Amino acid sequence: MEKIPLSITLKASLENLDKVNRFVHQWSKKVGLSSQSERDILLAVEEAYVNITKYAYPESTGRVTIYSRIDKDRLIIKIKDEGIPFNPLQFTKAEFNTSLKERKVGGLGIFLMRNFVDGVEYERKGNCNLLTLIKKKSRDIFN
Amino acid sequence: MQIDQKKEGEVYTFFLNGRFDAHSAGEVEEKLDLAVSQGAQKLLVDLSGVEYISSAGLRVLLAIAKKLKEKEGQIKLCCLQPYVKEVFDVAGLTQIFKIYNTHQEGIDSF
Repeated sequence: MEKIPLSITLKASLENLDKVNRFVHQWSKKVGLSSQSERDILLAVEEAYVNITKYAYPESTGRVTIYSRIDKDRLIIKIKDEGIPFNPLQFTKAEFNTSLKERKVGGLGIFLMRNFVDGVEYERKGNCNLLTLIKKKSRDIFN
Repeated sequence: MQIDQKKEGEVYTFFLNGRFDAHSAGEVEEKLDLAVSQGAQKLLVDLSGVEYISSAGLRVLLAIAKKLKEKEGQIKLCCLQPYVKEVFDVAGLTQIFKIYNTHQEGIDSF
């Protein structure tokens, strides 16, 4: 049986998004996520990861470590970076106007991230941001 | 991401194939931007080959829509796969974009 790493550490750059996706895909298969749930967690992880590549390290480049584990019927993905303090949960759920003129282009990534997982937690520990994304095997019927 | 382009009458049609994520969004934006800078006012983006979209892809489409609106042009979308449509719904963008089920409906709508 293929051994899946418990974590990956990479340079926080867009080129590594494919590696991130592969890691999440392997773990999604391991826990038996439905294909819909897998797409959901891939989306949430991409949004979190891309935010880090864009904003966490303004002066230079830095690393991201992605940990994964299974807890009963849930996939738990923890994303750690050593960048500037940033809590994505501090933003209230964005309200979107219907007018294109007024529509702000930012904030969308965090909004999608929060909406496509079953739980999100944030912690600042020392000089690290720790973001935890929780995804159940299949979507609740009444989601 | 594969991007094919053709002109159908006055409409510039773009066929996207693959994941519309942070990795591919830049390339799509370049091609759409180029068409707009060359005077395109009617753009149709056919998403039948797109099985995944993230905020990066949505942002590109929003940015082009705004540019075109300033030039009194319009971008429309067609053939969204169910999951992509769901992301648009959650993001509240089905109110903003004109979305058509088939390519022909998209062309005819201009």
